[in-house]
Parts: sequence; C-alpha cells; structure tokens
Amino acid sequence: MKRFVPFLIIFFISTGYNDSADAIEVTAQADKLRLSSQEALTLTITVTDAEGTVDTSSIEDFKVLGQGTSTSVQIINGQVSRKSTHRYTLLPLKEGTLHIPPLQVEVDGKNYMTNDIQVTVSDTPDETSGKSDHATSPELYLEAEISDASPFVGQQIVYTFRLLTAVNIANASFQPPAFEGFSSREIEPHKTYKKVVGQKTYHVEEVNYVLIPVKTGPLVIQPALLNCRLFTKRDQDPFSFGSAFDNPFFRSRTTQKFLRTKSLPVEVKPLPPFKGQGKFSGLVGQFSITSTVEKDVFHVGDSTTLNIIITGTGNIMDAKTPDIDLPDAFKVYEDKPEEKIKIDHQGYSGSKTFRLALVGVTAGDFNIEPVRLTYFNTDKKQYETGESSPIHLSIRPSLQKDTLEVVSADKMENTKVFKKKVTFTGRDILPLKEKMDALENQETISFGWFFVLLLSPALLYGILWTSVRITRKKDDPAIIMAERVETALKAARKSTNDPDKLLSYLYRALISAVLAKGGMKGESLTYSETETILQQNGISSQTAKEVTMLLMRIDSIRYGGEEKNPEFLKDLLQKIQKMIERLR
Amino acid sequence: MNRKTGIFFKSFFYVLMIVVFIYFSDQDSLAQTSENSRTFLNAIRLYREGQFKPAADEFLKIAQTGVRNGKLFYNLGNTYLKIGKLGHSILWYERALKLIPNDPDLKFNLNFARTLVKDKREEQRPPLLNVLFFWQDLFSEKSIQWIAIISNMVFWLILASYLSPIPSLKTATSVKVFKYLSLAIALVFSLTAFYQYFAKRYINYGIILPEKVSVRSGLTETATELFLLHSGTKVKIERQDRDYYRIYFSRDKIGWLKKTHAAMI
Repeated sequence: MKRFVPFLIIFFISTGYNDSADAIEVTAQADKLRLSSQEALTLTITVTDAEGTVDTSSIEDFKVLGQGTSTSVQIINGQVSRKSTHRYTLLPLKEGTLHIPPLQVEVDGKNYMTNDIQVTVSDTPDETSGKSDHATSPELYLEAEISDASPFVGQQIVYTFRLLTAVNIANASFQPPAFEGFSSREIEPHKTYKKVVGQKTYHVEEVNYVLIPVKTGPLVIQPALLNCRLFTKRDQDPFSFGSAFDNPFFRSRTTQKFLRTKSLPVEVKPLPPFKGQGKFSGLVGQFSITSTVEKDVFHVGDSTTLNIIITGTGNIMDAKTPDIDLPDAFKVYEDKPEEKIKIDHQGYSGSKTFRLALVGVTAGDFNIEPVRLTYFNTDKKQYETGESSPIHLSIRPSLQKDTLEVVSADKMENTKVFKKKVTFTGRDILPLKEKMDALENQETISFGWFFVLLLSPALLYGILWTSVRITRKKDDPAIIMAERVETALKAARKSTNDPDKLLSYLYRALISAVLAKGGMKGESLTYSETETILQQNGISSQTAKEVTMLLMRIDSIRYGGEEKNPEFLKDLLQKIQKMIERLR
Repeated sequence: MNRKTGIFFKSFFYVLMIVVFIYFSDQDSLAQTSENSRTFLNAIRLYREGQFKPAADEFLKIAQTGVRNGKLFYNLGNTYLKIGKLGHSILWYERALKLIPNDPDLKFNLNFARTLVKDKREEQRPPLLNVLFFWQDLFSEKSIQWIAIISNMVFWLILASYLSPIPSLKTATSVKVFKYLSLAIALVFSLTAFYQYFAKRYINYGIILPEKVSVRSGLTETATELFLLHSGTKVKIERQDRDYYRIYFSRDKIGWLKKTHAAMI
C-alpha cells in the first residue's frame, strides 16, 4: 500500500488542478475610483487557478507602471487553489471620466477579459483622500512650460521641465512626454541650480527639449511623469536621545511618490500661403545666405570651388541646395553639403555649406547671379528673401599649347538635358491588396510532413529496387551466370591439389563470366564467340583477346599434355580471378 | 443476419460516418471562408473611408481565424501605420515578409515604416547560418519547401528509371545532367528548409510595440533602466522568463523588457 501513496497524492493534486482548470477567473480592481489628477491608483488583476500574461497596451487614458506579480497557493480540504496577482500603478493623463478598458489576459493559450472600470479624475485634489502633492509636499513639485504656445508649423520651440526639491529624494525616474505631433530632441547637458521660492530654497533640475511641430492644429503635450522615493522624518524616539543613531539618516523613512506635470496645449499655426517670386525653401526661423569662391581667376580646364553658406537659427538641417544660375562656361560637380549645427537652449542653430566644383570650359568673363533663399521669419511672421552677393569669374585660356578637347554634341546645345536624381516629392504608403486571394492560407508545411515528403521518394525507391532485385534474380541469365562464376571460383580455390579439377573450374568460371557479361546462359563458347560477346558489351578488343588467350591456355594444359606445374596453376588462378574482376 | 452481412453493414456505417464528417467539416470551413470574405470586403471599405481603426479590427478578426497570408498581413501593416501604431505596423509587415518576401509593395511600405522608427539600427551581426543561406530571402518559406520536395522527387524518379529494362536511359547525357541538377537543387533547398525550421524554433525576433520602452537590468519594474527603445525597433529575443523577454539590440545593448512591450514576429 505504501508504494501507492505517492501516486495517490499526485492523483489528488492533479485532480484538484483539473477541477479548477475549468474555473479560471480573471478580475480587475482599482483601489480608488475617484482621484485628483496629481494622484495615482493601483490596478490589481487577479487570475484564479492559473497564471496568465496581462496585456495593458489598450489602456490609453493612463500611464501604466508595473509594480510586479505575485503568486499564492492554498490547499483547503485537499483542494489546491492558486492565485496570481498583477499590480500596476496608473497615472491619469487627463481629467474627466477615464476608462480602464477590459484587458486581455492570456492563460495557456486562451484569452480571458477583465471587467471594465470607470474612474473619475478631477483637477482639484480629492477631499476624501486628503492627498495632494502640492498640498502635502510643497517641498517637492514639478513645473513644465513651453517657450511659445502658438508656433508655426516647422518653428522650433523649447519645452522645459523642472523638478524643484527642498527635501532628499531617491531612485527618481523621469519619463518625458511622448511629444506626439512634434519632432523632439533633448538638450544636453541638463541644468542644475538653486532657486528661492517664498522662504524655501529649492534644488532645481531642469531638462529641456527642442520641439518642432510637424503638423498644424491643436496639439497637446502630455504630462511628464516622475516616480521617486521621498525621505520623510520619523517621530523622534524620546528614549533615544544621545544615541549614535539619532541623526537624520536613521530618523527618516521613504515613501513612493508619483508626480506629473499638467498637459500643455499647443496651437500650431499653418504657414501663410507664399505669394512671392521664386521658391520657398521650407526653412522656418532666421537665416542668411552668403556665397564665396575659392579663386575668381583661373584657366580653362582648372577648377574653383563655389561655397553657398546658409547660416541661422531654425530647421537649418532641412536646407536643400539652392537654385544657382550658372553660365554654360562651366562644368559643375556638386559635393556633399557640410553641416555645422549645434543644439542649445535657443534650439538648433549653425550653418550648412553647399560646395560646387566649377571647371572652366570656355575662356571669358562671367557673372554668377546672386543666390536667393526664401524662408519664413518667425519673428516678423512673414516670408523673407535673402540673397548672396554676385560673383565675377574670369576664365583665362588654357596654359597648355594643345587646345583642350571639349566634346560637344553636334548643334545640340539647345536640347541639352540635365539629368537629376529623382527625389520624393511626397511620402505615403502603397495601397491595400484587395484581391480575395489575401484570404488563402499560406501556411507552410509542418516539419513532420516535410520530413515525410522528403524521405518517402527514397523509401519508395528502396522498395522498388528491392523488388526488382528479387524478381530479376529468379530468371535473369546475367545474375545466374554471375552466381555460377562465384561457385566455380570457390571450387577452384579448394582444388589447387587436383590440377584437372582446378582447370575445369577455371574454364567454367571464365566462360560463365563472359556469358554473364553478355546476359545469356550456356556451358561453353568458341573463341570467336567469346570475343564477339565481349566486344558487343563494351569490352575492348584487347581485353577480349586476353580472355581468349586465357581460355586457349587452359585448353592446351587440359588437352595438350603440358606439364601441370602447381606454381604455374596458382599463377593462372590469380590471372583468371583478376580478369573476371575486370569483366564485372 | 450472417457474419458477412454484418461486416458489410459495419463497413458501410463507418464510410457513411466519414463522409458525413467530411461534409460537415467542409460546411464549417465554407461558412468561415464566406464570413472572412464579408469581413475582408468590409475592412477594405472602412479603409477607403478613412476609418482605419475599425478596418484594422476587421483585418485582425480574419487573422485570428487562423488565416496566414502575406497580403492580409500587409493590409494589417498598412492599416496600423495609418492609425499611427508604428510598432504594430512593422510587426505585421515583418510577418508578411516571411510569406511574400519578394512583394515590391511590401518592401516599399516596410522601408517607409522603418524610416519612422526613432532608434538608429546598430550592428546586429547576422548568425553565420544566415550568411550561408543568404538566398533564402529570395523565396518564401513555402516555395523553398516545395522546391526541395519536388527536386528530391525528380532525383529519385530518375534513379528509379535506371531500374527499367531500357539501357539507354542510364547512358543518356540529358538524363545524367537532370540527375545531378535535381540532386544539387534538392540538397541546397532541403538544407535551407531545415535551417528555416531551426531558425523558427530557436532564433526569434520581436518588434517593440509601445512608443517608448525601458529596457532594464532585471525582471522587475524597479530594476535599473539600461536604455530606451522606441516603437517599431526590431530586437532579437534571446529567451523568456516569467513576464519578461531578454532582448539583444546590439553587442553592448542587452536587457530585459516586459512581454507585453514586444511581440514576436
């Protein structure tokens, strides 16, 4: 009976699990349903009698921070029950009635949904909770601001986040907003300084981002979040006076704090329609354009470098090569632009230099017209056009006596086509695939089936080969004669002491080998038949003759009265064995 | 009723049961196909009307019925990109790439989506076997498997023809050429298919889904944040433990992130 005890235990435990497997229950519970925008709530998802994976990606009204997962097992009256608990901290991203949608929990490949939860988030602190970061911890708060709340699209603005602390904090983790609708770049290094507000001196950590709106209309910069542990003082122990532990470090404890800034609305204005002449460069900010030339006097065949430099503050990195009107007296080679752009608390600024190598083709004096740059001036809120100064170039005739060979098409100057790299003028994705074949299953073959399909032809071949061998063996003369060769050779090897028998077996072996080659049955052959059979079956006439010679030798010993020397017969046996090998 | 009649009726009953089963299972499958067709057409209509979220839900419904089709996955990628869910979009494009690797529209859209990913791709040294089997990207997995099976079958058929009593088959040059050609193709494609089965089982890649994800040094939310990854970034999933994946982004960027923050391709 003792032997069965472990099995019984396993049986009861497994029965307990099986019974409960069907009763998997998934619930979601929030620790509070009313809270202020400065507070966080704890969402607890409980999975009964299983362990699951929770997908929180559908929560859109809150920032989700995981706290961890715990599992507990209970055995009551032989029934085993498990419970896994997933805890999350949820920080509201806006005020109003917010929604925690049903969350998908995957348990052993099956999906379960939690219940739906509504939470009311008010702008003012919840009276019942009595908590507010500002009200209870004015020694720690956040600030967020932007340099311009109504920029033009493409205009850079600076987002500033400040953490003001008058107490010690630890494990601070800052999560900046997603900056949806903007391209963003963090400005480094961060600023750290002291600031006096009222009677308190705050330590300020300041983080800045340069933002460039990429679409127009009302946008919202979501709150920045800060998670930290705040040191708070314990009540002093009246009996510990004078103790070595009576210092601020040992008299403090830490509490978890979640703080968030306000959402910042931004109204992004579109650029006014451009009605001026020329082409708008796409630059927004303050810019200037200059041009320089490496040397203004040079010879035909020599080159000079034309530099077009755009300098300013704004989206300078987006500057494209300006249109330059160059005389036909030059061949032009464009170089890669050089960028010197920095990012600081004013945003992006710097210069972008476009270089063109000009090779003189025709001698003479030429003017390069001013290069124009139209940009949107965000200070003046209007389009402006800057231009570089004109450049005069003098090309002298070539110093070489030989005239420079300039190949040109016959009278085709007027139809000259300048090839340019094709660039995108707009970006979008290609359309949907609308044919119904999109519903056909393109499932690949499973490994097992693939293996079977790959092996089965080999297997079938094996079966076919075996059956052919078996059927052929019965009546194929070649096989029958080949077997006779083996039998005769074996008998010959055993009859070395009896010359007559040995010679008889050798003759039979050789004749059988010839007949096997020819695929026919028989007992004897003439010399000419032997040669004919062998040659018809791909054996050279030389070899066929050697076979005939061997047969003649056997016959002459057998019937010619030659001395049957044992050494000679052994040598003959070896020769015939080798010949039979050759015939196979 | 004698014994023979009993056997006959028994056999008839089993055959009837099989026919009924096949009939009803076919009916279910037909009904599912018809339902999928309706959902598909509805999804396309919604997409055209600019209702991308409901369109994505409809396409997803079809995918959840078990349909694995590169074009369907491509449509899901397009729809998620229109919603602004870059991570989901790249995930479905990558899944489509496995089934229709040569589709030009897919390549174009995937390249476009990749330009929107914030993380600059760092070196991800491909496995040595990936280098050896570089041609696998030219064919879909299914094509590779069928080419291997068919060329292997041709090779064995040629060998079987040698067993026939026609001696000229053995010596014909064209037959010899076909024999070695089919053997070479069968070997190359079978090895590629075996590698793909191996890769599918042991080499996993995933796509980051949320806008921004902290990759941490351990399997808790309080573990040190090592670096941040953004939506759409492709990472190698080395292993999984509880609710976390251990991911490899580049040689010096390895860490743990929550399973819900990345989806396997």
